[in-house]
Amino acid sequence: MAFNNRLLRALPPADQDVLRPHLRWSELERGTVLVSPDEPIARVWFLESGLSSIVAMAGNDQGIEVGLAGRDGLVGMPLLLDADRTPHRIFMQVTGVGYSIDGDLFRIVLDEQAGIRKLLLRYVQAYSTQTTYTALSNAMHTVEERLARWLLMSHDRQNDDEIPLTHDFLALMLGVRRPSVTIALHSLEGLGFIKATRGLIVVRKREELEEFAGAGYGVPEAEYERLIGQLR
Amino acid sequence: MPRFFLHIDNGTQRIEDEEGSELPNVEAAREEALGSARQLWAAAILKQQDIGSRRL
Repeated sequence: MAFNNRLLRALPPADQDVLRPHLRWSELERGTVLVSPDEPIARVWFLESGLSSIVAMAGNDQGIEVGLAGRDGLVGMPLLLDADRTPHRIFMQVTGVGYSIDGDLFRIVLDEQAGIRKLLLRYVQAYSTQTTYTALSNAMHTVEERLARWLLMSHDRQNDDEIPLTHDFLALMLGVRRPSVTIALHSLEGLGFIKATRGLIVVRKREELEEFAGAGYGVPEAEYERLIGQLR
Repeated sequence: MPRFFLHIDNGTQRIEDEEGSELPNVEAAREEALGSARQLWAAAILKQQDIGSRRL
């Protein structure tokens, strides 16, 4: 069984064999909650496909996406950092499949297996770089640039060019109202970088999109590749 | 909840809101439209764009 998840794939076969008997495979529909805010985290997830969104809550069910994890990472990071819960909400943004491991077992494995622990801690560093660049982008970039960045990050974590996303989700991702998303999609479409139809965005010109996204895209991705291995 | 569609018209072109938003009533839809217009203006000002011909 070969893994699609980049962290599981980066582990040497002996370490994979330690985890394999504990991994449970699940289909994860869009909207599935992987981690609820302020509740003990029961399972750690390694997505094989699909995308999950890490959302900082602002009350009244409002929030903004602060992180993105797909086949590049793991969900349930607090358990790796000796914490049992998080104020964030983590849910599936794009339907996919993934493996999960019981949280208590995960902690035991980490205590016993330095190789696994070290790789996963390097992912924490890569992920935290991603979130710092999200902060940079939110403060310094236009909605169009942030949308371009987000589409690239999403594109990195899947095989094909079609990203199934509604405007409502994108508005949450970017922390703007829907008409701002409509206008931003329209601009990127006008430049020929993407094609947007109802609930689906197709990436047409990836290199141009990268250039357009500017400083928001590239540094976290390079950091990931330095610390873990190939991202795309 | 009813679904409201916020189409954008810039005088020469109409950008359809294909998905719409669920909002409790017309008053909430009006608030959403006003908030959206303010956000679009704020972005336009930063880019030194005049979007006065746009209608939401």
